[in-house]
Amino acid sequence: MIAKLVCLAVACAWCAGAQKLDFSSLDKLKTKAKSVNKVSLDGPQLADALSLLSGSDKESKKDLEELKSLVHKLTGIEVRNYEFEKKGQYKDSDLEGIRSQMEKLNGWSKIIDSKEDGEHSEIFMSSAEGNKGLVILSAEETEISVVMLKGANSLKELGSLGGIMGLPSMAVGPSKKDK
Amino acid sequence: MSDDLDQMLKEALARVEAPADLQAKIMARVNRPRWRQQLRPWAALAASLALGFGVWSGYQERQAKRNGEQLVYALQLASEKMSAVDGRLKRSSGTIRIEEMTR
Repeated sequence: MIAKLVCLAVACAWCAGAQKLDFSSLDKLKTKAKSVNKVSLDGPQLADALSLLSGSDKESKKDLEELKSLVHKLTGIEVRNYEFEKKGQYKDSDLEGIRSQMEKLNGWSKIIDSKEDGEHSEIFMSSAEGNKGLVILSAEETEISVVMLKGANSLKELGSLGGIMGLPSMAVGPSKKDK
Repeated sequence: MSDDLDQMLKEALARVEAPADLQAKIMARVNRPRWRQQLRPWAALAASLALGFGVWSGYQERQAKRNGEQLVYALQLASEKMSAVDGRLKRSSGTIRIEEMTR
């Protein structure tokens, strides 16, 4: 009986840690950044947040329903965003701490790695049952962002939010021509 | 003279009958329900709880509003960065779009 309880406790601890990112490697950027934004919302806080959103007309109510159906699937959101005054105040290697954690997390893989003109973006995804999620690492000239959406099912869902509540429109997934 | 003094003393010390309703008044006071006194601490407790609940509700609502703002900010940032990636990939090749890898 005790052995079973111990195994259950270990399994719970493992599951809890499965999608946890340690952002402490980014703490050193706080002193150099001109602005720091941090978001940390768990499931109950997300539900609370949704309860206050409302639409005034039919169109916005429909958009809101779409937003709610996505957010209901999320189990947590983590954001760290640092903006700097000028270029060169951080290095791409400052994100190595996060990258190495993503490589070690079970079930996660990098699906996009894109670089252009000093901007580097990486998107990681996990589709494992019970461990779904999306992580975006973005390093621009004067801005670093890490966004983790725990429970996110697909890029397509996120893309469908384009235009709702000021979210940028983005075409994601196979084009209609290809279908 | 002594007769006058006697008379005056008799009148001054004469028995005065109690009013007819005196006993009733005394008994009414004695039998006044004590529930008013017993109710006071409970009324104070209820008022404190109501005040505390009001303060807590206000705090919860402010917190939910703040969470809502953070949620919108997080989704906006995610969409913005993914839009940037999408644009970058399109510039690399007009036929490439973000596709999900399926295992």
